[in-house]
Amino acid sequence: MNIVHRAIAASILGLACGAARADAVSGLLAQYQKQGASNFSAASGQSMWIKPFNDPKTGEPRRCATCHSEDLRRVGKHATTGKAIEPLAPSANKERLTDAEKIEKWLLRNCKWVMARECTPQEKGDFLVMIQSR
Amino acid sequence: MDAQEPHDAAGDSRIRVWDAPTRIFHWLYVACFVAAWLMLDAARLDWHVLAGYIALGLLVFRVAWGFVGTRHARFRSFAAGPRAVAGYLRGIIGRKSPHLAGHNPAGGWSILAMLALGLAIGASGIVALGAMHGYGPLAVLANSDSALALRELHEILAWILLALVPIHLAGVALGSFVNRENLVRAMIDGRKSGLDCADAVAPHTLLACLMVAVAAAGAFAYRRHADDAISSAGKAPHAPADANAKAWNEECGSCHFAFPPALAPARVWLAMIDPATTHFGETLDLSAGRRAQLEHFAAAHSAEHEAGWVAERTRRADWGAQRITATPFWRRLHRDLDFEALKRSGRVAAAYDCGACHRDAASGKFEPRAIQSQ
Repeated sequence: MNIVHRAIAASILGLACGAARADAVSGLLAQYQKQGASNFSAASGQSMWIKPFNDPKTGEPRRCATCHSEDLRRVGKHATTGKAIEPLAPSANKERLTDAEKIEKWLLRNCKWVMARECTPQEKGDFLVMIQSR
Repeated sequence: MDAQEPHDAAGDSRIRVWDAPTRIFHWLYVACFVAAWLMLDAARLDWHVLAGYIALGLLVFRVAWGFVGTRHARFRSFAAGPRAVAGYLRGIIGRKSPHLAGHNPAGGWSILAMLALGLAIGASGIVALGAMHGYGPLAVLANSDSALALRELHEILAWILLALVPIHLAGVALGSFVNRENLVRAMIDGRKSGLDCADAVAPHTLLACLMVAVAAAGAFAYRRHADDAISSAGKAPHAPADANAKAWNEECGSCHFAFPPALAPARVWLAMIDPATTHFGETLDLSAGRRAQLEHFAAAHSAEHEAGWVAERTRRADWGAQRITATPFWRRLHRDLDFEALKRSGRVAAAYDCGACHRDAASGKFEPRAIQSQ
């Protein structure tokens, strides 16, 4: 495969991921709106991203950035297992935000890990628009 | 040959008492023993085993040479009775022991012991290799219940041989001192001074060259075979083609190394993904569909269903803590590793980051030769 073919393949993949991302995110945002959310804000998402919550069991502060790092374009590190977590920012990792089921699963699981409760539809939408902008 | 015996500086004639094959055997045996001790690291098991094979070949030759070899190399010439040993030792104390062409009665016994131990170490090594890892001529013993005990026996025998080395060296030093003869030099050039010409033996240089050639050819053939085995070690037995395998690798692999299901029995896997309990204090929030996929995959490929030494160990392990890193066999096999230091250096993410060192971890094989130490 020469460089031209590779570039074409990469742009097709990029376009496909971009389209899938637009679909997955807009579908979820519409769903959150139906659940009562409105006016999603990347700024609110960002402030929640770095806000610490004390874990009720250990008392230690937990943030989204604990595992994903403050800069979403960088590789994060799982707080317990130490495993590298690929960047969340679509600009650094084309596959992000392309699978609605996966997004919902991790928002559920990780909101509970950080805040010891599920995120509201508003919070989830704020996160999505913030991540999408990175 | 005897007409050309060299004379040392003092003009004293030194005659050949050790033929070349005996000397080559001695020094190659030393080299193999040292090499085997230096290659204890599981990642260098291949080299350890190679040293063992060469030593075994040498020992088989030496035993035969003990019957058909030259005079002082024959067992008959140095396997003396206990009375002769006692008499010789008394003589040493009185500093009037005879200057012997071959081994003295005490030394003879230490030689026999070191040869016998070498054979026992080699034999137990081959048995342990087959039983632990399913390699070598006794690969059929793979997964035998006594695999770890056999390895232990191999280790104990090697320690006994190591303990005999200083005794042997002390004997050489004492003999050299009492008889004013450098016995180390004698084992290098084969000659001793102050002896009757009738004690001289033939050199058998050609046979010694043949020994070295056979050992080198064997080592070369073995290395080629080992390299082939390493390149195939990383291949997974069940490629994650089916959806359940893909779900397993995605769900487990999102947070930590995606353990191959052979690493635990089904009941342990099922408990780990049971929504009624936590997963080491964490909630997994698996969808019912995903959980069913993981359950099916675990049930089909857990330790009960897989072959190989890992599945055999994990099936019978004590899973009280539910962690592979808490099982006695895992702790034993990793006892020399400082995981805190490895984590600090970034080499591993955690002690259970199997794939960081085991190149074939995803396949569940965990062959020693697939370990990458750097």
